[in-house]
Amino acid sequence: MSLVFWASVGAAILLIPALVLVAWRLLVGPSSADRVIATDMLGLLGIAIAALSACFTGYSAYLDIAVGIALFSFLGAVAFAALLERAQLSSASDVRPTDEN
Amino acid sequence: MDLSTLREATSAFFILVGAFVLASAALGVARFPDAFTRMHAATKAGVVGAGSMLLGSGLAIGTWPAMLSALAGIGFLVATVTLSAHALGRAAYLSGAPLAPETVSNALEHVYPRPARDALAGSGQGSPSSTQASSGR
Repeated sequence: MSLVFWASVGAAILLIPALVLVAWRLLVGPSSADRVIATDMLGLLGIAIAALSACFTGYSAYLDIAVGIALFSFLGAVAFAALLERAQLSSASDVRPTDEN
Repeated sequence: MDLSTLREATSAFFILVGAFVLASAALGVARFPDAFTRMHAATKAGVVGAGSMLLGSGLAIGTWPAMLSALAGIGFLVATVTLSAHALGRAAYLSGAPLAPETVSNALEHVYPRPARDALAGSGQGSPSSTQASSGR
C-alpha cells in the first residue's frame, strides 16, 4: 500500500495549484460563462478529491460520494446554462419585457 | 512480480496521470484566452483526469464493489460530459461571451442573435465584483 500512498500524496500536491487556478478563474472570470465553466471544473476537482479520500482511508463509500458529486455537477452545469440563455432572451426582448412565461 | 504488486503499480500510475491531466486542465481554464477554449479544457481534459483518478482509486481499494462504483462513475462522467459541454458552449455563445482576438472564423456570426456584451453582467443587477471585472476588461 505504500506505493499507492505516495502516489496519492503526489496527486494531492498536484491538485492544490489546480484548485487555486480554478478558484481564481471563478472569482476573476470576465464573463458569466467563465464562472459557470469554473464551477463545472470545481465539480470535477471534487470528484478527484473524493477518489483521493478513498485511496487514503480505504473506504469504498467515497467512490459513491464521487458519483454523487458527478451527478450534481452535471445538473448544476445544465441549470446554469439554461439560466444564461434565459437571461440573454429576457434582455434581448426589450419590446415585451414582461412576457417571460 | 506479484499480482497485488502489479495492481498497486497500475493504480499508482492511473492516480498520478489523472492528477497531472487535472492540473493541466486547471492551467488551461486559468490561461486560455476565451470562454470557449476554457470550456474545451475544463470538460474534455477534466473528465479524462477525473476518470483516471476514479479508476486508479478503484484499483487501489481492489474489491469488486469499489471497482464497480468507480466504473459507474466513469460511465456517468463520459455519458454526461457531451451534454454539459454542449450546453455550456451554447450558453456561452448566446449570452455574449467575447471571442478571443485570435479567432479565425465564426460560422454562427449571422445565425443567432447575440448581445454585444455579457447578458448577466450588463443588466446592472449583478454582484459588485462581476460588474467591476467586466468593466475592467
